Amino acid sequence: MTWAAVAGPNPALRLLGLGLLGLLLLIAVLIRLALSYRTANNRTRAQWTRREGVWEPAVLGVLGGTLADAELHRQVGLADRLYFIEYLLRFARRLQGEERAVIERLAAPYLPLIAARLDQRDDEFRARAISTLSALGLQEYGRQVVAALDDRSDLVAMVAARSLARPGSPEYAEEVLRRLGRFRQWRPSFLASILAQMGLEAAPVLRQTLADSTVDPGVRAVAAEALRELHDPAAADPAAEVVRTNHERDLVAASLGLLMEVGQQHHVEAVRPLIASKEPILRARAYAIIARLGGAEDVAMIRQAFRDDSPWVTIRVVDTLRAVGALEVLAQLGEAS
Amino acid sequence: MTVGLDQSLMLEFKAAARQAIADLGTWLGALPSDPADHERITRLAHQLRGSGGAYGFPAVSVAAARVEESTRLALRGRVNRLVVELAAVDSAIPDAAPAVPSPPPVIPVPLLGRRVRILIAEDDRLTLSLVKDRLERAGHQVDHRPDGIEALDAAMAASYDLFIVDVKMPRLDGFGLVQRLRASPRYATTPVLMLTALGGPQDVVRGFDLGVDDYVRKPFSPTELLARIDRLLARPAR
Repeated sequence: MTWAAVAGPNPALRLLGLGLLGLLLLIAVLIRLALSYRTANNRTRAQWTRREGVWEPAVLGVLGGTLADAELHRQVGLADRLYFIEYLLRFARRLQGEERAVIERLAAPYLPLIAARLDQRDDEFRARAISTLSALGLQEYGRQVVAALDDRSDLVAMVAARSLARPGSPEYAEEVLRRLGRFRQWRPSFLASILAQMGLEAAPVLRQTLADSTVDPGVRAVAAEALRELHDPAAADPAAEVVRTNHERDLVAASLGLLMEVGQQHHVEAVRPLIASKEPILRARAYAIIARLGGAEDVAMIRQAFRDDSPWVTIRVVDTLRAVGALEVLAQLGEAS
Repeated sequence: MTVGLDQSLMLEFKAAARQAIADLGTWLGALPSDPADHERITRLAHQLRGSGGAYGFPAVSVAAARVEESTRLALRGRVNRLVVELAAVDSAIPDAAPAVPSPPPVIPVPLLGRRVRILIAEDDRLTLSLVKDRLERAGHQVDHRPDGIEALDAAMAASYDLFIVDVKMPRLDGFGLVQRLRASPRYATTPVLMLTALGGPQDVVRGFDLGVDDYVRKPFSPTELLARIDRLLARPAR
């Protein structure tokens, strides 16, 4: 019995039948497409797995000194070069020292292919290229990576900054700091962590930035935070100077945080006036520094923290006194209040 | 009668009778390249027999001994087996067979002079390849397991001279693995090296508290790793 016989002359039923038929056809086509894609993906994955199976012992052989670079390069076909670079990146992420240098040496002949991608319009392509070039060839392509700090895309610039902020390359610290102002949408603590990754070798540039009154206060605050992460004792003096002379809340707060970490008794003098600040965060940090570094003469001052408008100030002082083991003082203050 | 002893069994036996077969390490190191050294192997077999009584081994006479490369245990790769052919079970056989020259004086063998057996607990395949390849090139025998539970099972089923442990692993992490290894008298002093991306002071302190002997942070240098392993193996037992 045909559909026409069932539907009869009813045009609505005929339309519904045609619609259902079309829907079934569409579903069949979509299933076929999905299966084709899946098959193609599986085939590609299998091809890469086979290639990696050939490359892995060869890379290990080069790393172990039993295989020449040229032998490995012979196994990389023209069409596989970009994938081979990706493959080497996996090794680069896991290695350091002389083995990392071997991986960079193996990648060197192929990196011009990546450098050519720096001219692409797509931001993500450029960002990826910068990440790869810095991971496998920063010595050769350092100029291009530094130039990417000024890329029109914030994403590319951030990737460049993160790539340059690495231990053993303090020469790039200044370049990154100079452009730090463009990364306002990122959290200061995140930016400080990036800078701190450069290690203590970058501390002189960071101290210089903190002390420079012509630099944007936000950038100086990030420098102070990075110096705190690095536990740089030499940063205490410039931090005390900032506390003494500056009124930018975030910068002063970051400098107080730095003093909390590396300050000494003679820095307390610069901090005392801040217990009168309108900003609770500055009062809390000032009291905390006094509680940590101050002398017996400061006990009366610390007592004021127990009557502060903000409970956070009191909590912070109590925490600090407890942390430094000043339990007797804490008990006295507790009884008195 | 033929008795097959694979290397793990020999090492296990060696742990029990270290002094009696002190030159085990010397010839084990030469095993892959010198499979025809019957005389030394036969001498070893006699030493096994000589000290066997104390460890439940029967008194036997050795007819022949040879090294065979076995591929039967395909999952473990190729395994060298010491095959000792025993003529008879006879308690009257003299300790020193006339055909066998007297063994050399027993001298302590540095641990590095033989194939050290190392277990790697690591779930990252590429890191594992890098470590395993470097250790095998250095002549060590390397087993690996992808998580803490499997590593613990392997450790209890065999005998290892050193452990390389990742911290972040499925099922049982590196800290848990070290804790359980140290709880076993067998591994109370066996060197453990942690290879981990968790390099914060708290992690390091926690590892040392649990009995970790050394730390290598990822990313790492296989050359440095090997140097640290050599140092751990060369130091006197704790």
